Amino acid sequence: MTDDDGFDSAAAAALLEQTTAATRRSLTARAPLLYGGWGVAWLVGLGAMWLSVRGQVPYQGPSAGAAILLGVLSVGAIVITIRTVGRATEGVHGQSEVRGRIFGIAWPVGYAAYYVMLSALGRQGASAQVLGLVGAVGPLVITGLIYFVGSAIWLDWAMLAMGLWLEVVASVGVWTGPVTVLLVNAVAGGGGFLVVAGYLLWRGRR
Amino acid sequence: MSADEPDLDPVIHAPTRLRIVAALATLADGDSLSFSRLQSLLDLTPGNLITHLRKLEEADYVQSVKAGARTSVHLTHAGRAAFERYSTALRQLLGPA
Repeated sequence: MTDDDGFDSAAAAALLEQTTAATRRSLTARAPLLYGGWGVAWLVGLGAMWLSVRGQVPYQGPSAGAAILLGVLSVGAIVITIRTVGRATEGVHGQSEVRGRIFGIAWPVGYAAYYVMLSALGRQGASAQVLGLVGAVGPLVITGLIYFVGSAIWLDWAMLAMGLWLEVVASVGVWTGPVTVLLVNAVAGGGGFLVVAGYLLWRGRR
Repeated sequence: MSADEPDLDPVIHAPTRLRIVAALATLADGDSLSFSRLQSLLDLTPGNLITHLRKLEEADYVQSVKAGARTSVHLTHAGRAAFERYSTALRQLLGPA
């Protein structure tokens, strides 16, 4: 492409529009991939947790195998998230970078505090049922709240919908007991992520 | 430059510089883009990008900030305003057609 005199206003308008769209696309993380990764991790991982506690009398808690599977799937979703966001935001510096970093740090900090709390509850003699319930619902409450905050930062309506939905699922699921709550979380929580992923994919292709 | 575009800022009205300015204008106020990301985004050679950035800097439309090994580029307030004027002029030129 040369900067010659043949560059008329129509060509300029087309180039401007094309550059703006391509730049925005390149600098935006592929959200369907993020939601999809977490949807699969929750649906399969929490589904396996539910299968491992289904029919337990008395309730003892999920098997190590199911917990490890959930852990592996979660690590996979974290890797997808970091790579996707990192690729989109690479080279962008300034206030957006700081916002994204603080938002990113909220996750490990929030989850670390939560797991410390769970272990303290166990030490204080909380029953397997209580630990199972708090263990199942806590991640939804934390994740939902952080999505809320994300929607406030980026005015992202998919994040707002996801945050609201997770708080609703947590508030309903907690009443279903330590076994069924895992099924509720897998289907309604994981399924919710997949629905949003599907919607964003559909909207992006229209 | 042809006669139908009397109001188009000549600093911006060149394909490569228009692409640079349009790309930088998508950034939020207060953000900047690294030289290397801008280069890969627009698929330009370093020499070509430097040449056009220099012209934009001379017009005070773009500012480059060097921090360590990294150079970041952003539109100045004057650059953003010039881009707005340019976009408006383009729309006016094409509108009645």
